[in-house]
Amino acid sequence: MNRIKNYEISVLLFFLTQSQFFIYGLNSFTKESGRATIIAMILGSIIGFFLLKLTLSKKYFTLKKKSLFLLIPFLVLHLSYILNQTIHFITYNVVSTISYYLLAAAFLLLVVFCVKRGLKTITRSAFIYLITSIFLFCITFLLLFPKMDFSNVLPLMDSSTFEIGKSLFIYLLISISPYFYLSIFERKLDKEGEKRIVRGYILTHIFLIFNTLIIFSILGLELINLYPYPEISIFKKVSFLNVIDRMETIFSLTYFLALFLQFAIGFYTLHFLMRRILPIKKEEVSLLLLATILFFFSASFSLSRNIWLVTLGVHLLFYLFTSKSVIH
Amino acid sequence: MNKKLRLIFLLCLLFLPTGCLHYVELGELEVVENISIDYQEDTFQIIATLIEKKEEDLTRKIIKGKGSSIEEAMEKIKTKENKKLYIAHLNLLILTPNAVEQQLESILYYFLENSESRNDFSVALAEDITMMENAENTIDLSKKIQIVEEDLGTSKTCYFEDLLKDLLEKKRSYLPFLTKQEEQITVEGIYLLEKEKLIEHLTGEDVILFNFLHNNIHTTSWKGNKVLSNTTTIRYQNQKIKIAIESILTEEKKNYADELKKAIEEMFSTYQAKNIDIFDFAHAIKIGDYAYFKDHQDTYLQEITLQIEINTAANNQGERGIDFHE
Repeated sequence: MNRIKNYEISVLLFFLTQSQFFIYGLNSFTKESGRATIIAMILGSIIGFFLLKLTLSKKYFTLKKKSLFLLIPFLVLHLSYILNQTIHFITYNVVSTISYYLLAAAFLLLVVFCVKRGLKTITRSAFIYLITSIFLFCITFLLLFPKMDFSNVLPLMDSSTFEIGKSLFIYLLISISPYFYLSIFERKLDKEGEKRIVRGYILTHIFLIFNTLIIFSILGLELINLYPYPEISIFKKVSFLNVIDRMETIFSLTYFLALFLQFAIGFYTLHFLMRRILPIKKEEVSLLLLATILFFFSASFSLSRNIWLVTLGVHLLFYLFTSKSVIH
Repeated sequence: MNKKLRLIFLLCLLFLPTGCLHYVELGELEVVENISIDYQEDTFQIIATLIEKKEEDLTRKIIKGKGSSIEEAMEKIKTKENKKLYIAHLNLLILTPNAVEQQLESILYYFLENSESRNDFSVALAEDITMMENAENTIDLSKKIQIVEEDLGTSKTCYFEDLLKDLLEKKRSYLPFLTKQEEQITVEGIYLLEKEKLIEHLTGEDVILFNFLHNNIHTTSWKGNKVLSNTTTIRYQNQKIKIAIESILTEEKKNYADELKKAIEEMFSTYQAKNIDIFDFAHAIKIGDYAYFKDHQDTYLQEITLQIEINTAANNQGERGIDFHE
């Protein structure tokens, strides 16, 4: 396995968290807890921070090979749902005229190519995507600033404690479950590595909360609930002197990159676990076999979001109750 | 060989999923500028203003369609011209009172669910869409509404998303009203919309007061006073609506503040009696005291009182920066 650097892990985790938040959808949170979603996110981030500090400092132990088999069906469900949502996102926002199967096949082949090159390729790509994402975010923030109306964010406490608690729990699940992938990185984290992970966590959640505030200030609660992708709808308002406009497809690239990385790292993990269990010698065969399974699974079965949340729960439990470096 | 195969495969990937297969030439698109929708006897009637480029000039063309649904009517327009209707550049959607009161939801959802629609167009009301049959009259109508709003303050642009937001949140909105006078389309105030019913037509000074309280005054003229700019803030505290108006006039007159205050109070009382929150104080109450608003959603309008403070300043240099007193 390739060695990856501490900051690369942080960058990858940023995209994984952002992608999971995007897949669940801001409007799913707001339909539950309204404007108090922001409160739920802040509280969820704080609780997640303490949970992360606690789990990063725990002792190591090795998990038996047989128990890895349990993870595989959950990972298959998890990745099928992500593939389904990614292709739906592409057909809704970018190319509505291309068939699902063609897009899914193209996407899977791209992921297979990336995974075959190794974990190092995925993490290096993540760093490049981070620079792209920051650049695009800065442009959109500057151009959208005149359109922000922060009175749309108020009143903040417009939901009951139970509704806020529900959103908080799901946000926590989405925030901490990506750290499950720490289990697949070969070496143990040193103190410096742990510090970088924690810093990465803080920056990720500052970004997510800030982005949510921007979306609220531009669209307001009612339009967030109405649009299937409110995160993308705000890009339609980006306009500068009638020269820079109609560029929402380009700006939505940040979300596509996050989805790609989420799927790629999950695919890598699943492939790695499968090879430990199934005796397939040739890597190309196992990669294409796995891609085919996911292709047919995502196309044939319409998985509900609740099943996806259960898979996140399994990831979270695995992270909380096992070692950080399972696979040697 | 392996590398060649990979290269060919990647080239195929480049072209296939990016939508090149279904590319439509610009010449095969009909760019729609305005759409007018009427609903009579279970039939949608649509008049679309299309933009055409002939040599160096842009010309307008009118096309009509009818159908039992909007999709059918739009499809009939498409069939006639044999080109794809492209609504991404839509500037103005005009609806008649029948269309608003009977089919507003289906009309709004048509544009919401259409992936080409950018939802950045404005919406207006017109008594009759036959005035849109003259292509010359339809040029830059949305800009006309904007000019009346900014220069006179006697109208207010209503954007599609603002209309949606208002209807979802407050079940109340407004639409600028277009009418035909001597072969020209003019903007005549606004119509108030409540629970998909047109309830009141505001014109002249009433619209100016409406705009004052919605902080939407750019320049206007109020009782002989030229207002160059205005800022209105509304806060709620202990069942009192505190309104602070800061106006910059060309010439400070003593009666401006008193007359404006009296007019606002009178207009509020008139609509308070009709139980219409004309100035949208609900928004200020929600932000100021959400718990009170939640418990008094149906009665707050009768319980609140106004506290108005108006400050003025004179800008003797007039609009163009010329000092008329030199």
